[in-house]
Amino acid sequence: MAQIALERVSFRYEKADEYAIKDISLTINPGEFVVLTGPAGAGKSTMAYCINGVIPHFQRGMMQGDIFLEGQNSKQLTTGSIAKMVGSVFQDPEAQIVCARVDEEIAFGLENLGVPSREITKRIGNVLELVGIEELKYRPTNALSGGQKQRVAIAAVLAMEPTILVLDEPTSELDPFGTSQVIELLHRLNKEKKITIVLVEQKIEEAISFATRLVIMQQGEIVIEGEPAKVLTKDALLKSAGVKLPQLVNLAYRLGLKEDVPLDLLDAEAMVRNYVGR
Amino acid sequence: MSSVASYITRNSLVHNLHPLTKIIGSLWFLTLSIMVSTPIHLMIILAMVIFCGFIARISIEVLKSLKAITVFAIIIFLIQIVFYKWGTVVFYMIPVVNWLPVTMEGIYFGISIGLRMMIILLSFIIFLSTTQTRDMMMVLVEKLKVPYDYAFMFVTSLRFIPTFMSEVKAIQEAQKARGYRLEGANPLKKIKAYVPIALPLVLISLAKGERLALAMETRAYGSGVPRTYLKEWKIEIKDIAAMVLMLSILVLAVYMR
Amino acid sequence: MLIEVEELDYAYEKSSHVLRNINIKIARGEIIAFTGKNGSGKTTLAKHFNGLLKPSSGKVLIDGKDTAKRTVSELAQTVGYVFQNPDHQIFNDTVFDEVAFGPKNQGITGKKLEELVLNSLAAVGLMEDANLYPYRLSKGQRQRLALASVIAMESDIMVLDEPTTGLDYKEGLEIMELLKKLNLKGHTIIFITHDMGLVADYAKRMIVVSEGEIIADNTPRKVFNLDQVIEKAHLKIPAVTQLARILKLSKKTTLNDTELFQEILAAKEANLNVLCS
Repeated sequence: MAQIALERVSFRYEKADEYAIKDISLTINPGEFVVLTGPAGAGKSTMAYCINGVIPHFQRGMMQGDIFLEGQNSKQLTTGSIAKMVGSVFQDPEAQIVCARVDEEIAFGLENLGVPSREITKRIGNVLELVGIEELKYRPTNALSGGQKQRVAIAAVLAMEPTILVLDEPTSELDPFGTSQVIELLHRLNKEKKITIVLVEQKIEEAISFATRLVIMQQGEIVIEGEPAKVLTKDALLKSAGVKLPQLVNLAYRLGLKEDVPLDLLDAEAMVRNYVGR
Repeated sequence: MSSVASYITRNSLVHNLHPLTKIIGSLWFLTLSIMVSTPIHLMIILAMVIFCGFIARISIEVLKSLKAITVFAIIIFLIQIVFYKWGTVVFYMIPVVNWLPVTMEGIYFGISIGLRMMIILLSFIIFLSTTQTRDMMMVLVEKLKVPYDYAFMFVTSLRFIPTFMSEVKAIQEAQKARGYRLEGANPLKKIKAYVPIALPLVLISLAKGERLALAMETRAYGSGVPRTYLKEWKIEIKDIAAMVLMLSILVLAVYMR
Repeated sequence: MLIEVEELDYAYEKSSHVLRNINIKIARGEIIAFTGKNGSGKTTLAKHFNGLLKPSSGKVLIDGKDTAKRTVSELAQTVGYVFQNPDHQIFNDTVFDEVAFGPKNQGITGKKLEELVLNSLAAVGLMEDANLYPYRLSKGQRQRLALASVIAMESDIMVLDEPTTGLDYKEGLEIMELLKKLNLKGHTIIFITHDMGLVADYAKRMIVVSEGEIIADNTPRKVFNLDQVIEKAHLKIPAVTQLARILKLSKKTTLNDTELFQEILAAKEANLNVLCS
């Protein structure tokens, strides 16, 4: 059974003239790592909102179609039960930290869910270890770097033990070091904890080798989706959608090897050596 | 600004007291300092406040604030002696024309008022430096029955003060870089001159607020489940001991009057 | 020299040095990238150029004049500064008025003002939007609006703090192409970025800041080859540069996929020749 299913979903924001997403159908299975990309205004964030319950529960607007999470219609689920199923991480590291100290921040969601104090303490210890930020436990949140803030935000939603993580451009305000830390963490959570990842990103270069699926959006519609290696063979479509192609993929196109594009340096090295004939 | 009266992370007896005990403690110092009027007794009470600071292991911070408070108390003292008109005149502020008389009673009264100020301010500073805002919030909500949303809003707005300040700074810099000057305008023009700072600030804060609300809602805020707290405070033996001690000193003070 | 920084030290408080012993000379017409980790001090350094910050010790000379003796608004005539987030500056009701704010502060009025504003809007491609409410624009357009409002001040030097952050690929490219054009027109451009692809494509010189000190100041080609610098500043050099280093097809550092492509073709040809002979 699909873990996430969007069935012919359209959404128009209050006061907007046009639909942000149009008649979208997409199913995501447990344990997938989905990278969703496309130019500004393609409807990527709206897709994230559909999966994390912001649509239809908080965002005003017109929605058509149905969203199913673990087989249940999102409309009929309470916001509390969606929060337990889907963890959400947003773009602005500053505006999603609610509390003054890291351990309190991680406790926040659990307190809202009425988890007993002793259990909260236990889970704080567990997620700090899982994310690898034990040393930040008692730090004031406003003294953290952007990368640390985003990892705290991830830890805080992980404490609620979700099976799905939805991240809306979590690295756009981070430097390369912070970006790598976040992407590597997501890879680990996906591999070791089998958490389904839906990552909305502009810079796909780094995440692409971990992804099981790549979804390209443009003007509220899905242009192409599928295994990254397959999607990346459609050079004409990708270029017209305004997606920044990873450099190594571009190189493959130039060499006329667009059927088998490299996703990381190792692939690329093999490709070139093979091409040169050594 | 932020260094005065903000929480200082330490592990001490005072930090570990129930927040309610500490609220009562500050009010107790306030009551005591009003009941007592002789400088000697007030000195003893002040010594007790300072002693609490030492037990709280924030002696350096307490001494620093004491310095600032003393300056404040001296100003209060000077104002008092000038305006206190009764009693035996000791000397005149302006001797030749016998202007602004200073009386024995005035000095006495001035010292008492100054000491009182010091006790009240310092005890509240110690309370604030040993109690986290969210623990205060817990007491407000659980013991004093303030609605959670209001208490939460208050604590969260404190958390966002540094963010807000850095936004103000960024906006100021952005406008200055475009040749914007605030200095030199007349008061009427000055209000208009704040628009380039105020408008982006309001818009950015609204956007941040919206994003924060989203982050909170997706973490089950307001989901309707009775909430719990990370740290659940219980009245312990040390709290009872502290309250008994405070009560007995209070009784003693009443008796001595 | 248009910009001269001599033994600049900067500290917020006496104890913590944010910048230490900075020496830079920048000539008219250069296009330079400043890079380094977040918190390394690169923005702090850039804010010294328009006098938002003054050195704790040492000197910053802009066009021969000491910034310590001049106000930010005086310096604004020589140094334009585009901040990372355009929303920190937008406050007017129309795009036109937003761009006019800077020149008006410089005392320009009437026909001259109108001409300046319209030319700047044309330069960034926002001519048709002159009467729009700025917040109706997309993020990429707002970034261009911020750029136009600095172009209108006709400053020789332009400093841009992460001009492409938060923009999509096309929007980012538009901004960079604009900078290239401005540079060709004679403006000196300093841009802060984490994107080494942009550095390779647009900068002739790069300055790497780490823990308040300059640890490299050279062409991107040279700096991409300095392993210690790359590691210390956590720079993410372009994937093709990394690949070229693994393949070792040529002795020089490769900057972009065109260069690597040609190296690969050359290698293939050489290989064929070996096989034939």
